[in-house]
This record gives sequence, structure tokens and C-alpha cells, in this order.
Amino acid sequence: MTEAVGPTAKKDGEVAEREEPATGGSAGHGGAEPTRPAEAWPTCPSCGAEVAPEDGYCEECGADLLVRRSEPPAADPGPCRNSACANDSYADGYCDLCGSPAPDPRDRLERDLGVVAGVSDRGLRHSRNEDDMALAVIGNRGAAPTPVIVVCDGVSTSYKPETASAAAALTAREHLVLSLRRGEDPVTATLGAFEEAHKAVSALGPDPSDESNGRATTMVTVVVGASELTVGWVGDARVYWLGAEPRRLTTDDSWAGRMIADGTLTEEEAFKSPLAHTILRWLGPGAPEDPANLAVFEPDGPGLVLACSDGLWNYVPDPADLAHLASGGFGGLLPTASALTAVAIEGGGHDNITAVLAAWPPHAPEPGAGERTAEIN
Amino acid sequence: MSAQPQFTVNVYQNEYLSEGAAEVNAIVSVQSAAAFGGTSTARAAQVIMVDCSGSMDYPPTKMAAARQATEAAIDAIRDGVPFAVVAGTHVARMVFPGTEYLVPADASSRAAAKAAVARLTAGGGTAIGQWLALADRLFTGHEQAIRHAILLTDGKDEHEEPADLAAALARCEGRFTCDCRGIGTDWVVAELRRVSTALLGTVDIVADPGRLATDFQQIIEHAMGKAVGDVRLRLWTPQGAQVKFVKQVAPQILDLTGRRSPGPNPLTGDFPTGAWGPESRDYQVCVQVRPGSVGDEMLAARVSLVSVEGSGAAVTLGQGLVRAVWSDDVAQTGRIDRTVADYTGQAELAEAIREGLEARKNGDLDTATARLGRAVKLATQAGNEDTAILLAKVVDIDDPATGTVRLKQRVSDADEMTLDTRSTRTVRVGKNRNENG
Ligand SMILES: [Zn+2]
Ligand SMILES: [Zn+2]
Repeated sequence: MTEAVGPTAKKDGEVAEREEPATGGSAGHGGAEPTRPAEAWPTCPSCGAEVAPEDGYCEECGADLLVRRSEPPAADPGPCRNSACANDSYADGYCDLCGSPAPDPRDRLERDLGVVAGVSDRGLRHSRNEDDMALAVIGNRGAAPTPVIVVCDGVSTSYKPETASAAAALTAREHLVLSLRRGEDPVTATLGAFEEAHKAVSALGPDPSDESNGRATTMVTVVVGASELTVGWVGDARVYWLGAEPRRLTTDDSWAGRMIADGTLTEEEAFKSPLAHTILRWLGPGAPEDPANLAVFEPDGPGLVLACSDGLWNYVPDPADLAHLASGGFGGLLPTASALTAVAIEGGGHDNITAVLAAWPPHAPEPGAGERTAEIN
Repeated sequence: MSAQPQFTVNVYQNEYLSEGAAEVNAIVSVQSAAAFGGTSTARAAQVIMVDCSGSMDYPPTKMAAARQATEAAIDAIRDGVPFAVVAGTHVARMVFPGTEYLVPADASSRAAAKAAVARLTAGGGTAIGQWLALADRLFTGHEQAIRHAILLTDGKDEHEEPADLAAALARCEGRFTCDCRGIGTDWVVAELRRVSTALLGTVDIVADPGRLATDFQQIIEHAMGKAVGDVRLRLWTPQGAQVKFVKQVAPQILDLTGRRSPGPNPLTGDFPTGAWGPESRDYQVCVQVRPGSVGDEMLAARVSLVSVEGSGAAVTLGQGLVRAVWSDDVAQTGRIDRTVADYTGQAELAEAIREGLEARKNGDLDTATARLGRAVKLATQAGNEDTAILLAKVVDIDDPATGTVRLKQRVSDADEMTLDTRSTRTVRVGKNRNENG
């Protein structure tokens, strides 16, 4: 239910204020914090040879450079989505027998990198999944790894929103991985990721039959550091801290979010309005130029980080409720993300749903653990 | 090969349907721009059929105009294009050449043809089916060319049975295209329209014989500009779907629904569109699909424009997709696609005129007043000024907005027939057709 606003709303200068850190923990993460010393990269943690930030393996000794990325959706469509149709050949993206859209691997994505895992689902009421997610884990031998989360929600009224969310997620994830491996601080890396994602979406070009209809997506990112969470966002996807004191770390760049932030309306009143989900910021042509919203949060105890699209939080907006649902003992991050998604689907699945979870504090994977074989590219 | 025009296919529709809805409507707009400068180099063949029945001498200006117009047409035929002139009465007779074959146009064949045409005199009856049959025989052996005919008549097809004409049309369908002209007011619009519709051509009245020569010249120039023959709309629809109608809606309404021939697989059907030069045409497609639920999406139709060569091989010239997406968002499902709405209105306008004139002819004045009043209202809404002017010659308009009209006591036959023949002409819906607000 993410909708673009008209040009008049885009021009509204009040909308795009930069978000100050949501909690007491400020952005003062000087020398002590980074998960690894800047000078340690880019060198191989095993043999010390110089490596490029984008390398997955050391060219000298073949060591795993400990960057894991979630795989993009598979290309093979498989059997027709229509259960009454036994066909499996497609033309122009549709079944050439019954006309159903070719099955899209993005209808249901499950990605598990061990310390971070997520689910993205088409839901029940939309013909395609316009959400996307991209995950990574940046390893550091002997120390805690850094999970990276990107969740995007294509603006449904824009041109081919599923392409905007996919381009933004991938671009932002790559920028975060490469910048963090170069030793950039998470705040700078996050701001850069939004700039690059915005460029990538803008570069895709507008609707050829209507140049004014560009592509657009919202985006939220989390760098799960050893001592703090660095959260960036544009739009109304959210990040929640599900710890002893559950809380939301983002404020929505939406009409409702602004009304609530202003104190004009209560949350209940604001979400009754048909304008509630009208977003005020996005990535893509015509977006306000301001830097992304940022929040840095220092957890004071163990918990879960949840990044999600509005397809989930529409059904369960309250941090305590989400924390309660996530504590259901599902046996792992992926089953928990899946269970949260199921709640939204059972509630009606009106929008696409994306839920990504990371455990905090991030712990180093045990040597030879199962996730080592998962999703490396 | 370089003479192949570039085709652009655009689809205009509101793809959003509410839960359970099953009817999908779209306008498929086809534009062809010649990739070459100047005239077409495609092979062509031309036959001109001139009514020489006895009535052409009453008044004698009709026969004189027919001779003059045929000469103008002969001059407009491109060098090298095989042609013939046929005199039509209760039989069909070769005027030029003397025997049944086509002669390539050059200075001497044009001069000989014009000399033969100058000697044409009126005398005899009218059997249009015979004329068409001769044209069909003349085109035999020219199947690789773009075959076009002109038919001029001044009277009713009264020296053969309607079944004879129907049989001749059935044989000629797909063999050549034919533009028809009626001169004077003694011919029957419905009859000539049957010919032009079957042969994918135009029909018009030439009330003033003095304008016939210009008209013939333009028809031939248009025909000589055709660069691709036998072009078809190939419609793929999903299993279980039903094509409710396919019709050309611009520049004139031409229902193609009954003209389907099987395509390359059971889900496809071909609808003939004739030959194409650099031009624009719009088609309306209506497909009934299996109803969907909110969140479902379906390809309701794939519309391809294909050129079928003599060997039967098809070349795709362009393609558009007609989609259906079921939604519960009224902002999506409630949107009116202006292009579809405008053409739907124009089709209703043509229908209202046809029914109104028919009721008037049959003495059912209440129905005639109601239907023609409706036509006035629709023409006003659509901004179809040409048709509004023609309607004003048949009815006195009290209020164009509500369509309050009175039938005129005296209406000239020419005005009534002009309105009838031109009722299927549409106003092309503009390029910026779906701009919001
Ligand atoms: Zn190494
Ligand atoms: Zn199928």
C-alpha cells in the first residue's frame, strides 16, 4: 500500500528532515567501535595478501574472505502458477496456455545467512512481489561478523516497481559491503548506499509511454555492528529493535508518519486516513535530494533486529507485539521471519511482505557450521 | 526489403478489473511509418470498375464525370503497375485491354486506356457481382502484388439476386481490396457498404459528379502508397477465453469479428486488415476471460500484426499485450480509459445513426427521433463536428447536449445518404490520450 504523492507534496520542504539518532547512543563511534581495524582490509585474513573488496576468495591462498551474500532470485520459472494449468512454457512473461503471469521466484524468497535471515512474500492480494531484500555478512576472522540488511518496497503506482526495488537492494547491499570492507564507517557507508541506490533506480528510465512516470522504491538498511546498529531509511519500511525493551528505530516518511511526528494526529487517527500510506520520500526520479534518514542505536542487551516492509507492520505495528511473536521459539532466524510473514498472510496478506531478522550481538559462526555452505556468490 | 514500413503497436486500456469481472477491453493503436522516402516500391495491381448502366445518362453529366474520373485514375497509376478498366452493367465487359488480363502502366498503355474510356457509353442494367467476379479473374496470377480495385456505381444491384452478390463477395474476400463510390442518389448505401466491408475498403457518396475525378485520383494515390499486402491482426487469447469482438475503430468502423480465420495454433486467430502504407489505424478488442480474484493477473490477449506472404509464412510487424489485473482498489478499477471510452462512444454514435435512419425509412418516427437525438448528443460529446453537421441536415436540433431533436420534414436524399455513408467515420482519439486530469 505504498503510494506516491503528487508533485505538490514532493515539494514540501518540511517533510524531509534528517532523522536524528533515535536513541541516546549517538553517532560518536570513533576508533573503538569498528568491527575490524581499517588497516586490516583489504588484506586476506589468512595470508595477509592484498585483496580487492569485491573478492570472495583470496587469489593467493584461496581463503574464504568471509563475505556472504544472499543470492538474487533464480532465473528458472518452473511450472505455471495456475494450479489448474499443467503448462510450463512462457512468452512475454505469461503462460502461453492460460495467460497467468510466469511464476516469479520473487513470489517467495527465503534467504538464510545464519546470523541474518529473511523472507519476502507476494502476499495474497498483489499480482507480483514488488518488495525485495539483499543480505550480506561481512566476516572478520576470529571476531564478530557484520550482518548487512537491505529491504526495499517498490512504489506500487510507479513504473515497474519490482525493478526499482531489486536495483536499489542490490546496489545498496554492494555499496555497504564494499565500503565497510574498505574500512568506511557505517554512517558514511549507509549514506553512500542510499545515494548509489537512488542513482541506480533513476538510471533505469521511466515508462516509455509516459516519461513523467518514473520508477521508485522505498528502502531501509541496517548495519549490525558489534556495539551498535546503524539504520538508514527513506520511505515507510521499518526497523524494530526486539530486545528487553522493544522499540521502533525508524519514523515513517509517510503522510501518517508526518502527522504523528507533528503531533497533529494520534497514531490511530492518522492510520484511518486514506492518505496514511502516501509516502513522502523515495528513491528514484523526482525524489527529494536530502540525505537518507539515519539512526544509530546501541542495544543494552541481546535481542533481534527486524527490518520489514509495511506489508508486515500493517498487521503488527507494535514493537512489543512483534517481540512477543518473534520470541515464539521457532528454532532459528529464518523460521522466525517465516512465522512473522505468516501472521501477515493470515491477516489478509494485502500487501507484499518482507521480514528480515538478525541476532544481536552478532556472533562469529562456528567453524564448519552449516551456513558456510549456504548462499555464497 | 528496405521498403518495409516500421510498425508501432500501442495498447490503451485500464487493465484493472474488480473482483469477478471478466470482460477486458482495449484499443490497439497501429502506426506504420514508411522506412523509405517517396513512393512504395511494392508490387501492385489495379482494376477500375465503372458503372455503364443506362441510368448513368440521367443526367448525362454522370457518365461524363465517370469517364473523366477514370482517366484521372489511370494517370495516377504508378509506372509498371498492371491495370485494367472494366465496364459494369448487367454483365461485366473489358474496356481496356480488350481481353481479360492486366497491362503494365506506361505512357502508351495509359493513352490507349484513356481512349477506350472516352468511348464509353451508358446502356444496360446493374449486376455488381458480375463486375467483382471479372475483377477477381483479372487479379489471378498477380497474387504476389497488392491488389486493389475501385468500384463506381449509380444504382441498385437489381439485375442479379442478393445471393449472387453475396456469393461473389465470398469468393473475393481476401483476394483484393475495393474502395466503393456511389454517384447520384439512386444507389443503396447498405448494399455498397456490404461490398466495401467485405473487401476491406471505403464507401462514400459522390453527390457532386464534378468532384469524382479528384476523389478517384486520391484513391489511386492512396492505393499506390501501400507497401505491405495481406496484413492480419493475430490475436492470441488464453485457453477458455472468448473473443467478443474485434473491430477497426479508426479511421472508420469496420467490424472484423466474423472474419476470423484460424491462426498457427488453437489459441490464435487471424483477422484481415488488408494492405498498409504509411498510416494509422486503431482497433478495439474485447475479450471475455475467466474471472479472477483480487491479486490475480492474466494476459488477456496478445495482439500481433503479421504480414502473410504468398507461401503462408508470417512476419510479425508489431505486437501489443492486453492485460487483466484484478484489484480491490477503486482508484485503479474505477479509472476510465479515455481512448476506450471515446471509441465506444463513437461506435454507439454510428449505430444510433444507422438505426435512426432505418427507422425513419420505415416510418417509425418515434424511434427515428430517439435514435437520431441520441446520435446528436453523442456527436456533441465526442466533438465529432463533421458528423454533427451532417446530422443537422436531417434533424432540427433543439438542444445538442440532451439530444432533443425534431425530424426535418424535407431531407434531401443526398444529405441522408451522406450521413449514412459517413456515419462510420470516426475522429481519431488524440495522441496524449490518457493524460490524467
Ligand atoms: Zn590469502
Ligand atoms: Zn498456465
